[in-house]
Amino acid sequence: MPADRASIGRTGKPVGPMAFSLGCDIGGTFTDFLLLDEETGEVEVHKRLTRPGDPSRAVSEGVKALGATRPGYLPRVGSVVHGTTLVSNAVIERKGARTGLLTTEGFRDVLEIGREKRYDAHDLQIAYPEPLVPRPLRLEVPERVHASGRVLKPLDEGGARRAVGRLLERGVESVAVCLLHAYGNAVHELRVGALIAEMAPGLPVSLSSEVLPEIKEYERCTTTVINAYAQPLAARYLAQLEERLRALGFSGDVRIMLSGGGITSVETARRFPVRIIESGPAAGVIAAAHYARLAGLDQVLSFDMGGTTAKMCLVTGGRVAKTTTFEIARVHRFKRGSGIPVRVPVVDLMEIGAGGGSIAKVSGVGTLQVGPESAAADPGPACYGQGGTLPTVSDADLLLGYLNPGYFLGGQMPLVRDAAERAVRDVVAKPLGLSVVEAAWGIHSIVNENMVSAAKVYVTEHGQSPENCTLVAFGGAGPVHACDLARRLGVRKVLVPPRAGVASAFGLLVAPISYETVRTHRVRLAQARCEELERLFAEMEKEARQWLPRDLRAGSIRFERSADTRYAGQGYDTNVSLPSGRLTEDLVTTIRAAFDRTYSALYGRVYDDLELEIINLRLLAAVPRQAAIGCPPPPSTRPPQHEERLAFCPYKRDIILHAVYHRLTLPPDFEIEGPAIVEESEATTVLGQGARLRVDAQGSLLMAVSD
Amino acid sequence: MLDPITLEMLWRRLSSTVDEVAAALVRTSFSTVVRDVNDYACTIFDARARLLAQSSDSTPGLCGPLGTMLRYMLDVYPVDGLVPGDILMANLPWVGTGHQNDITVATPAFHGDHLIGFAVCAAHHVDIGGRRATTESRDNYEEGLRIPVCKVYRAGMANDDVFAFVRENVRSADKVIGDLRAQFAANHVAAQRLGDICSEQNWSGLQLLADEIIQRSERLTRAEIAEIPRGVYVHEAPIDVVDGQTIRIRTAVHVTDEGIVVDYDGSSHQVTRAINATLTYTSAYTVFALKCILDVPVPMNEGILAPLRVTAPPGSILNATFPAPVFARTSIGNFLPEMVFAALAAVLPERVLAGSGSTPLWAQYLHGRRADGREFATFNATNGGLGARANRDGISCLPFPVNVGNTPVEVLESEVPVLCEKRAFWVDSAGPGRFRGGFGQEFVLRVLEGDLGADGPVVVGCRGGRFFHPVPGFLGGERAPNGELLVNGRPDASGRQLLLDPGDVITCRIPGGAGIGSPRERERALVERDLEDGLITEEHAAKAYGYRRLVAP
Repeated sequence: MPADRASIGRTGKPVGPMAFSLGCDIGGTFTDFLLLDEETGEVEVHKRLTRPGDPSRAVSEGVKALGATRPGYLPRVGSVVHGTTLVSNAVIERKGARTGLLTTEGFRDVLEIGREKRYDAHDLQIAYPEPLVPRPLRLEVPERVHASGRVLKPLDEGGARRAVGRLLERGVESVAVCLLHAYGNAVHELRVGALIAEMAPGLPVSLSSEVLPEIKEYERCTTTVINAYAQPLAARYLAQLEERLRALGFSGDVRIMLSGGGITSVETARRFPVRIIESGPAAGVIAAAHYARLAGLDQVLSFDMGGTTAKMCLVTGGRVAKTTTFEIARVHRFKRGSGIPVRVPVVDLMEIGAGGGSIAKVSGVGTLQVGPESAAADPGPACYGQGGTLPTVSDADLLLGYLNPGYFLGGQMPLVRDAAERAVRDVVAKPLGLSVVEAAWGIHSIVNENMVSAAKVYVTEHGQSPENCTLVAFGGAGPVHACDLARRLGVRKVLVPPRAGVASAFGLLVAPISYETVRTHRVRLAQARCEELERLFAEMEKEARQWLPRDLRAGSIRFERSADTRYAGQGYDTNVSLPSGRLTEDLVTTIRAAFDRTYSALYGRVYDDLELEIINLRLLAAVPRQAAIGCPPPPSTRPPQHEERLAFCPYKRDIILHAVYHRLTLPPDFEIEGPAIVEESEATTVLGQGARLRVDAQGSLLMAVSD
Repeated sequence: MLDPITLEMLWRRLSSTVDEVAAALVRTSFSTVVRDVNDYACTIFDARARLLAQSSDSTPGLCGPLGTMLRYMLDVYPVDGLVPGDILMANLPWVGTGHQNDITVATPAFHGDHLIGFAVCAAHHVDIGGRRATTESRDNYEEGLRIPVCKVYRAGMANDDVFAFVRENVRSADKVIGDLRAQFAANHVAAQRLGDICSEQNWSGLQLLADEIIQRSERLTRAEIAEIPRGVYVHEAPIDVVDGQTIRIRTAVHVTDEGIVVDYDGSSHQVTRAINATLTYTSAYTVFALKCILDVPVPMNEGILAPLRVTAPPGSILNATFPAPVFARTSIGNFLPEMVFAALAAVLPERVLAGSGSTPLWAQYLHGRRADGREFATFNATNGGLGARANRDGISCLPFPVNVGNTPVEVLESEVPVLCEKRAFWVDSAGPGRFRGGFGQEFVLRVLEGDLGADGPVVVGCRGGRFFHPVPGFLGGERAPNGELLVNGRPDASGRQLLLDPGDVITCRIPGGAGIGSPRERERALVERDLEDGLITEEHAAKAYGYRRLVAP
């Protein structure tokens, strides 16, 4: 049990009713704040530049700034929910602790040997990330446990002490311990942990059996090492964050977004920082899922298009698609296998290099290509007027009339049309013999096609079909591209939630409090014993109760059980949801039926005569949030406004007049017929010809797309 | 002419389609060779049987020969006779992927009644009858079922006789038929996507698109070849194969105005062991090597293949004559990229890879019965180091040219009654150079005794090589040490099956990659870093690099 439990329970007497929640999401460029009045549903939004050197300072500055419109609100905030890229940045920028690694004798190089696969068959210049622990800090411990859990060679404590001693001499600030088969029997890891605590009290230790009790030593090791590597940094940061908020008068709970889409306590985040590695992008998907639920949509493809990448994620019946396969610090951002694997529950995002900043160029074979390279924020698209000369998707969107040069970010950042035109003309249109508008439409089309290709593969891999999905579009560029993207993808409905530009900060406020865990239990289904499975699930439930925020541990916890299962002899598992409640003697039939359902949805067939094998058991514990609100924007006092401007219509293949609406003036049930454009300060929604748009009760724009 | 926007869009769609169907094929496959070794390929051809797209993770040996196979199939069943719902199948090594375990399935794609192209895939099956995986077959007939070109579906109706034939001739028939069905499904989806393109573009066929892809790629490839100085670049080297036999491979790369011809004339005669390569297979690995060094930034298609040609005299080990046994043709095929790189090293020094310790593949196939009665058949690869590159060291423990990952020790030990005692870098195993090779691997396996042990002996089929002829360095770079395979501490030749009893230990030392450039030119700091990491010893540093630690005065 951690000794520092006191820090989260410090909820002093509230000054008044705890009426507010505050979401705060630190992104690469901006830190977004969203303050929600739980009583009235009113929302206050604030955006400020991220401070890479001192991110928690940007948080306290933003918290103060919100006080300008809501004086004295902070003591009435019940919880601050925080999304951060702290851990992934630490790994990418190599700013973590000097970390030591202890392994079983004979295996100190596993961390570097990895899985021995080339991620690109033809690349002779192939490169991999340097291991986070250099070889001199990877030491071995004499001991051996068998796959069955039996100890074949007892831990040589003298040897272990010598190894720890050498790591301490070499100045390590954190230690990871990853012994073979510790997922099944942790006795040696626990003992090594105790020795370290004895020899170096207070030194952070990450045991693989606690961080990830799952089979496969390389992935367990990289995950444990990242945890150890980020721990001192995360502890410092979280302590500082709490301190700064307390100093400003905050007395509620600080919660942290997990990569899997739930939120957790500071205490758990401090102990398992690897679990918050991908916390920002997860929040956006949670927001999309939330609005889809309010709109009564069952099958949703969330679509978040920003400056550099587009991210998609399936949400089925309110459940966000998840995976435990994730990579960090890739050598090539979009090449699977070129990074360090992390096995923690993460929202299963499909990410591709398609964003407003994606650069268009003429390829070697004379075709038009867009991305994955991005102009990013510096110099940014040519139209930002910061010296960029390469044409980007945003430049094309401006030339097509979709973006309003005078109303980008609410008019804070005027766009330079001439620069965009010059870039598109010189780099793309001229060499390809196209007009500027043709080239701009080409850029817009290609980036959409790239997303469509990737989305089709992703959706099919999940056993779904795009035709049954509603696209929920957000992010700076999402609503601009959503309608055309949907048409190409065969999607009929598109939803643009309110405040699409700060969706992640909103997602933080609606995400459930959760904890996920795993146990490897490799057994043929026919030989699986009910009591054994129940024992493991009970153990996991106990673990979950321990790590969920203390004030929530009593009731209302929803446990979801699942099992990674496969046909004996296959190499991939299928995660199968198990019925809630205790397993009974007919578990073979139950699990087989659940497996058949999932497998057949994914691959279209099942084999009745083949044996099933269970590999891992998983448990998700979740506590739903109170704030299940839609918080529509306040009703406008002005009548719907309507202007016109010229924009490209792909059906007419020409620039024609489009009606332009201000989103904040649109009342619920208001309907618009395409072609039209709806503007708001952080996003622009393009409605194609033939498509219809209706404003729903929550303030979402719901578009029906025709072929 | 097709506009550059539509072309890019549709081309990308073809590429993503083959990867999409390949992913489903791999995930549902029962064949560990498909799953772990990527021994599969999904491709799309145009109506004239020209390659348009192929799955990106496939083994070179599987995707390379599919064009030859498809064209042969169409000789047997001409295009005019094909109707929607037909599916063709065959596994003949001489027109296909070089051994019977790989079954090729071709599905003609139609738009209305109009034939618009083909979806073709091949996969290495769990079993194909005949003798189990061995290099000891005396001819091709012993190597299992030979499937001639047949229509396994006729206009949508299953040809039950064909299924019955296969079922009666293979072990694990359910899995073989299951994997075949996965191949049909993959082709079906790919063929459908071709039809979708025609509907969307309002085309009657794909010829316009196919011509653009092929012509543009060919132009690019020829322009790239034109950058290489004309000439004939020759390399000859011995390689060791099973039983310590030596095979000589003579490689002549002719760079001409017409393209590149790689001629293996002068190479050894075919052998009695089942390691002979068919010309289709030889060609596949050779073309793979050329694709690696040519800077042609488009995925493989017929246009890239057009200027490239591979020849070898009939009856040679690289163009064996039927019915030579061919099962383990990778033992030879694996070496061909190294031969091509060695021949071109002087003229394209920036592009090549020095010899890799991971060539050929080292792996163990473990069969037997556990004490609890359950049988096991598990595969593990142990890779040596990648060769050095012109400006960077090789990568340690990385396969080349095949792409076969290891099996996690924890997974291996939960299936097989063995204990892995070591999986570690092999110290001093990297070939020295200005840039050194990657380090090789030391892998030690002990057969367990008692109730956790085996019931009877564990059969270990060992693959490996470089026992006699070392991994070659390029351009002044030095060789890596020879590989070692020890049973209970005593050297043993590889390439055959070992019978291990409880308590027996095998040790594999797989060489590192070789170096590029003179070791004397290596930066001192890099030598020191290897010393500090414990990857090289002081003696090695002194001997290989002339390094002496500076002693403070």
